[in-house]
Amino acid sequence: MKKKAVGIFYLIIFSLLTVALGSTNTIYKTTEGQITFVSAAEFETITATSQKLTGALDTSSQMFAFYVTNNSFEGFNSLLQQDHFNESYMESEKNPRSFFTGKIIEQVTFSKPGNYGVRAKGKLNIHGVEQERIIRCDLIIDKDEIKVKSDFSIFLAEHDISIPKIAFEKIAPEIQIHVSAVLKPKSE
Amino acid sequence: MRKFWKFIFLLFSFLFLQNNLKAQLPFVRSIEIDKSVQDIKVQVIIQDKQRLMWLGTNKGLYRYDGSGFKLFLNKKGSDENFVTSLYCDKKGIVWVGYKSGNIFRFENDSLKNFDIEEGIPKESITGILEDSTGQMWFSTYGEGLYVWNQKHFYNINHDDGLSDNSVYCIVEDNKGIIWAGSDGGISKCSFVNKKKQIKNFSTENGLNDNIVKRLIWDKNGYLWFGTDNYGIGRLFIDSDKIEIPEAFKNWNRGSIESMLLIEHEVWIGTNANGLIDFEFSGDKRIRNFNGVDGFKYSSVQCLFRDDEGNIWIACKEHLLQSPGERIEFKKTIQGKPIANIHAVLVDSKKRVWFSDDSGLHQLSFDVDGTEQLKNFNIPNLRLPYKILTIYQDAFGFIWIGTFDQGVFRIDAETGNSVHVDDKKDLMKQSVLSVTGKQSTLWLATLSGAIKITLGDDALKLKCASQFEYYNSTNGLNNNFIYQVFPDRNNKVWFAQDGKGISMMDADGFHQFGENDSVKAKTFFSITQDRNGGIWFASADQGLYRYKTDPNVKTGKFNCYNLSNGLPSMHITGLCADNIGNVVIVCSEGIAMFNLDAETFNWFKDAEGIISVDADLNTTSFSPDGVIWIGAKDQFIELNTSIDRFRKIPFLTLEKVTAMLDPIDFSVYARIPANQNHLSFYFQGIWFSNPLEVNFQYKMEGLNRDWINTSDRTATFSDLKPGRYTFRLRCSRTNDFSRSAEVNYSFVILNPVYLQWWFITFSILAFVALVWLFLKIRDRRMNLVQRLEKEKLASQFETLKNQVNPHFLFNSFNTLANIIEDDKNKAIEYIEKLTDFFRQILVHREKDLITLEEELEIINDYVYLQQQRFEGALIIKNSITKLQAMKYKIPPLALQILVENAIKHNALTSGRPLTIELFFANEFLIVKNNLQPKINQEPSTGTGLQNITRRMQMLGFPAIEVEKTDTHFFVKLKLNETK
Repeated sequence: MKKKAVGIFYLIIFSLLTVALGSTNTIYKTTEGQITFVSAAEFETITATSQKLTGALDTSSQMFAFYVTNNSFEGFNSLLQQDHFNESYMESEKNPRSFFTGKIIEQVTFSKPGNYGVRAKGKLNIHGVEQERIIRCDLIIDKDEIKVKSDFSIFLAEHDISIPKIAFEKIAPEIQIHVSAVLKPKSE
Repeated sequence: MRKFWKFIFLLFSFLFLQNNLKAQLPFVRSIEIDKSVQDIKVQVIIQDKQRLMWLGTNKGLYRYDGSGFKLFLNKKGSDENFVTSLYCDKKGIVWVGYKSGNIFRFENDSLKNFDIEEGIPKESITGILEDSTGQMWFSTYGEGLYVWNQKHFYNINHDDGLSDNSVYCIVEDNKGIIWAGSDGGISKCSFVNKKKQIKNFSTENGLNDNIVKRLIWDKNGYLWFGTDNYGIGRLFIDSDKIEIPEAFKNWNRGSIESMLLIEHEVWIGTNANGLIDFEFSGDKRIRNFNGVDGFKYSSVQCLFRDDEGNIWIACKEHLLQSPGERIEFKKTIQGKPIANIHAVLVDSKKRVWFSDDSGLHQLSFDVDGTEQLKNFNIPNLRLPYKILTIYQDAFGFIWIGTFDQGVFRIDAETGNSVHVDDKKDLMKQSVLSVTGKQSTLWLATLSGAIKITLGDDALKLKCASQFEYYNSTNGLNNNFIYQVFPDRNNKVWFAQDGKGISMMDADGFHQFGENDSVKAKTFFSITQDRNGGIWFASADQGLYRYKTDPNVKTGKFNCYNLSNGLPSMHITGLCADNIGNVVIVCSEGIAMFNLDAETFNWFKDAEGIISVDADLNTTSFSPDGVIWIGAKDQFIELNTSIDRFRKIPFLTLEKVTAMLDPIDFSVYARIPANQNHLSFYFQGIWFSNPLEVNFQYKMEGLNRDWINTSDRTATFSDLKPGRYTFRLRCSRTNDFSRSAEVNYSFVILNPVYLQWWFITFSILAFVALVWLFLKIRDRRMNLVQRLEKEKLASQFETLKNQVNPHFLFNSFNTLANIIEDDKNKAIEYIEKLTDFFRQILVHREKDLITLEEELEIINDYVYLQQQRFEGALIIKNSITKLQAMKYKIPPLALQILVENAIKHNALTSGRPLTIELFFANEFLIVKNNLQPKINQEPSTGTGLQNITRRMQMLGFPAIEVEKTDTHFFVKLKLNETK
């Protein structure tokens, strides 16, 4: 399962690269996007952020691929919490990354600057478990960059992340995710 | 070459079809949606669980209950209200899909946005459905399909294998698989455990067109599809085989917008060529409904059949309603109008024999639907003639009965005719009806009935013994016979003019009249239903039914008239089908009695039957289950087999208000007495003819009888407290006995002052008040009594003291001394003594006296004592006259204090006793210096106590007594004089 997911990931990166070779202008990339998750449980709110969201968007095919390294999340309430996150929940050693890859549903005129509310349909892989999702995002298209903003939620159960009974009141079953990234044309 | 000829043949037949299509047509009528809105175009129609119709239009969502259309708009703006799809889910919630991609749900009387995290589509929602697992499916024109599993919204589009993202429609099969018609053909989709499975069908698999606009199921589970350019076809989903009907292989009527499957027909709504009907089993005929009754169905966007069997046709210009194929009309034959039909018979080969003013004709239909009309020339029939009846015997011969010219037997195939001669005067008789059973024929004439027995050789008609005659001379009541009916139980029934019903069985003749509750005198026709009941149509008394009780073996007549559901009293024809209906042709319409439901259903002006005006023998049951009725200017075909629809109005209580505020009537309501103004709003949904619906209501607890109304509201004001049940029923006639009933029970509460708890509380409160009053009164009485007692005690004490021998002894002793010294002074002394006793007597009855009066007593008393003690007693009175007048005091209070002071202290001239009376801080103070006697005078000790108690009872503050080493103080707080 996990091997397969990683395999798919490399395949996508590879395909993106080949597409990139074909028409360089259409690929927009980032390696320092920001992704934050909020777990608002009854007794504790946990917030952690990674500044290392990496992703690419091909404006011609409307395909995209994003990933984040799980152990790049910081800002937990305690170091112990971060360790739990990586070891117990995400199992970052086995599943170092979380991905979202797919295609934008509606046709977007990337040549025209403006704000576009779009829906990205793709495979969300967290904890090595893949789920098909539609995620609403705002694209703010400027001359030389595309800003991506998105708020969505994930259900831990859908990704086989089980919470020990003691932690029920400290970890929410539904996690809010906020993404903000600026994609720039891929340099030569 | 063969192909070429086939092409030529088809082309030819098509041209032929165009002109000569079988022209029976269903009735349609136009319904106006909203006068105030221009250019409403209905896109989609559904019916919800409450039987209400929902119409999605380009101008918004309309709801129709039979009495009016109500518009519902979402709040997103006028251009966001173009409805493209509607669906009623299993819970009864209506889903609305818009052209803008918005999805709304109709809940609690308003449109609620279907808002999900994933966001809603941006392209037109073309279809909505709930699958058997509860997932909601949405088809879009541009984004493929969406599935909502109550948690997430999933998309299925081209990337997942769907042949095209532009989807027109979705339907579910009985295995839970979704079939979608799109610009890429037909796709079979499933979404189980988040796994998508898609299989596509396109022209490569045998589809005639890749643009599939409509999908519908037939009864056998075959999927019919309507395409953009190449007509229709069907897919056998088990074998994936695609079949295009022969008639559609050269389709030239353009794009298909809508389809409706009715029994063995598909109604096809086209974009530019109106409505087309294709009968896919049996005759496989195609009919074009374009231009019926002046309506032009240029574009038929939507077709829908409601639960009453009405077909709703949404055209570009109109919304139309039709009873559908249940009743069809034929007004022309081969383009010529029909006029004055006198007799009708559908023979065993489904050929329609009929007679009109021009003779006998036979109408039949070719496989392709072409009408064939054959006219029969009967050489021996003299002009002018009138063919009154047509009958087919067991050997296939056609018999006609004429006016004044007897009967003729015609060979149905060759047309050869025989004028039947009984060697008597049959050839001159008027034969009103020919009926029969097996090899027996019965003729009803104006001089009795004639029975003809057909021999083994049916062609032989020459033997006179074949004829038997029945008339008033041998058993019948009358010679004027309208019809003879041999039933299946070997009884022969005679419908007579003016003399009721006669019946002949093995025992002979039996007459039925008033004794058998048969009031009617004249009967026209007789038939036998599937269950063996015999039906009689009377001329003016309605319908009679003779039913044999299997236990007693005797029959009983029942009469049906306006009071128990028969819609008209003018019956001309009677005919029973083989599935349990009796069809009654009346001048105002056609009624159907269903033996299972024991109810009448009927078709009248709302179904296009304005006036039937039929002759007596014009009703005939065709082998294919259709009843043909020949009316004055048209044939009416009644398809009794299509009888699965709702026949009575669907009764709903829509709203109940108390004082204009809606109340929840799903539960037993307790309504306060001050809200006893109740209104009930109800609806009897009957789209076929909303005006026909009547209501009857009764408020149990108030009304004794049912109240009839055609209004949709009932109001009750000022209902008295009590229990009530509102009962409501509705009917299409005056007969409410078979109507569904709605009940609503509630209670009007007693006003607060009549509630049991209030009454109990009031009684308790009253008892408590009385008790309290008595208690207080008692206490006051006690007080007064005690005061009285104290007063008496004080008076007694004072008197006792004053008549104390010591006092008297001392007084007289003093007096004795004075008398010797000074006579005048002695007199004064005696006066003072007298005065003192007098004042005691005057004041002893009073509760209070003024301080001034008390001081007078003190003066007298002190004078008397001073005479005794001379300089040893000093009184210092610093009370002013003003103060003395201002205050009140219990009588003798001060006197007792002064007396106490004298009594308890030693008085010598060397150490005189000084008693001071003065006011300090509103207190009257009696102060004396303390020099206690060595030998105390006997003291009762009651003096001070007595004053204290008396003052307390009169409401004075307590007396304060202070004793220092040198002085004795008594402090009194006095009341001011009022």
